[in-house]
Amino acid sequence: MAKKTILKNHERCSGCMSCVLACSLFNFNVINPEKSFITLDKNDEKQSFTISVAEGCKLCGECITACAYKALRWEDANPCD
Amino acid sequence: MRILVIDLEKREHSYLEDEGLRSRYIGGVGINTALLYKNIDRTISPFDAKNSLFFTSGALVGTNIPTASRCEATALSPTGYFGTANSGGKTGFAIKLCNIDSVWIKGKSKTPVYALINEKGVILKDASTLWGKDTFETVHILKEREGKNAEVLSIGQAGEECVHFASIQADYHHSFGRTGLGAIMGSKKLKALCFIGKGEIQIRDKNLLRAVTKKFRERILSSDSFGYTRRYGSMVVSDVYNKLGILPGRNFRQGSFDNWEATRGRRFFEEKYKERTLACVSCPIGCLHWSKVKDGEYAGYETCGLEVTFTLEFGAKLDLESIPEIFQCVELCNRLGMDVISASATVAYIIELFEKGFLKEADIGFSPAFGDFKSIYKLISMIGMKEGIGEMFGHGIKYAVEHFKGSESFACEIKGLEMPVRDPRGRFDTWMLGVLINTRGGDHLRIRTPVDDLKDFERSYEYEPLALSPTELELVDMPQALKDSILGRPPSKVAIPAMAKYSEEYMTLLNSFGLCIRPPVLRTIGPSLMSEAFRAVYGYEIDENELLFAAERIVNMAHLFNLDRGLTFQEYRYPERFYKELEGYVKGKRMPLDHIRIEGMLKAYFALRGWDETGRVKEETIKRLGIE
Repeated sequence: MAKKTILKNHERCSGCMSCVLACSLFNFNVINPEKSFITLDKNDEKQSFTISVAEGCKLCGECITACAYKALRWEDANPCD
Repeated sequence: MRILVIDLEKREHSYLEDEGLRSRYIGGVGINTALLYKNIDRTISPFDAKNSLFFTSGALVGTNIPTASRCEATALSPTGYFGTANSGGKTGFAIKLCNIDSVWIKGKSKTPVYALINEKGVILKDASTLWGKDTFETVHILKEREGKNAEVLSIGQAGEECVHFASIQADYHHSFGRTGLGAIMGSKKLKALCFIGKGEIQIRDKNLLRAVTKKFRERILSSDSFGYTRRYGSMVVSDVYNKLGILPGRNFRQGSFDNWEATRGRRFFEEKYKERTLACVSCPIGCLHWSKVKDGEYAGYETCGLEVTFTLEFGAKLDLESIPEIFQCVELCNRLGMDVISASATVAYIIELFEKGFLKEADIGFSPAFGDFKSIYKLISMIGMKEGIGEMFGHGIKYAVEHFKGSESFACEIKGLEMPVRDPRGRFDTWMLGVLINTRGGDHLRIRTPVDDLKDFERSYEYEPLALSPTELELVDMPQALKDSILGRPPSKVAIPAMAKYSEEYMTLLNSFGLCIRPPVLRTIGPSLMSEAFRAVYGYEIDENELLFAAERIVNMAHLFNLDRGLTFQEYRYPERFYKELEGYVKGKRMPLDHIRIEGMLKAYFALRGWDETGRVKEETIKRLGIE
């Protein structure tokens, strides 16, 4: 079975950071963006965001559950969901 | 509860630890009110070095509880009364990442400075090269200098010039807008606060937090207003304001515009300008927009917005038909660091003064007019920079009206704060009584009911209809005993004074916990869910009634502060225009308000609060609430 991966849709990202907060809380028991496997790189001029998932991500899916904008999803999830 | 205290005069900082404050005053506006009440001399001028400026994150900020992003700023306002303002974005979170909950700014610096703050402490840095720059320039320079992820709160030229309604801008597009706190910051020669903390936020019960977060989210996302709010943001109500005739058109003389929906309506905005959805930290609603102008003079221009407040202020109050021109006025206010509502109200007052002959072209330097972008833009700039007549009007309408005897009826301010966005003649409801009782003056954001529906009805002063379905009402998180007493049993109509009291306490809780006040939250999240969240994050066992009692104490402390500052019953009054003039709207004319009936509602509200008929707090009330 192929390993799951997290797909990112940067265009949909609202910058709410819910994924960052959920990742650090549920993997490290504190809220600390520095510890999160996910980072959002903000372009101030366009107020747009680039999402990165760092190596070491445990693929727990907390970030996907936390995202209310469908900017993150499992690779095999229906993109129209 | 950890407070960072920065003394600008002594150029030193320290930390205060006080866990008792958290359980009693929660966070955000609650903590700020307590700090102001206990520490600010009632006799000083707002620009005295003894005035302080407090910033406190909402109690739930820094967690993933939906919409918990908001931060409160508070000081003795240039209005002379309780000054407070709230902002979303990332500020509250950035404060928490410095391992603090509040920042208390004391004293005045002799020279311009900015404060660089992280979890290890504070460095006060020279800001003389930033002084004179607008907020966009300041944010840009400080991000280049201190790191691109820095959260910058700054003032523009309006704050430096102590314009009485100067704002504090957070990043580029968020504002602590109302009550002139930017002027307090300017009087202290504090150009900016720059947060670069990399600390941690501890959670008491992670599993409970997960469960509470899920509950918040399910309720918000299932609210009937969620989809519309995601799509249109606050612009969702733009069309209905026009239909109801509650727009503040041309300084509250026109409640509707024939071409409103085609030029300033929600669908027109969404289809023509909206590009993407943006959100504050932890928010699943996403009511913010990134917009782009695609044609015309401003083609290619991109910005954050449109908010309905901008549309109502510049679009209706000043009658600018073009959304790109509204964008330009908003950006100018943001750059100068000036509250959009007060700036627009002051410009509207100047134009009406000119129309009625109180001001001549020679006084202003040109002929201003409603709907005329160039003259409006120029007036905003003159006020923000205190140039020409901007010097006088930069003190606010209450000050300026003293120079124009006979103009009182259209000088639209209450308790020194310029009136916002809605004409009370169009629909006199809890919200509009709220504008009169608001502790920060003429403002619409501190008393909003969780059952408001914005449908038309015949004015009664005492009641407004309840149009929510039983299912919708079931979702409203409000103690059952209060639902029964305020809405009746079975629920049928809303008793306005009683709902005003509850709504004021409810919104005090939202602003203390750092939650949003948009309808998807108002309709679904209330004291019982806040109580659960408080337990998850801090371990406090404080139930919904105890939270409402804490809010009642906070409201009373803000009011007592105002009474000490000289507030009188006479100031609980709309300008005479609203009691004497008919208001035109699409379906005809709205009748003027009845002063006696409104006074009756105010007195009913005072009685529910345990105040006497003039609004003085009775000794027994002070004792019951345990206020020292």
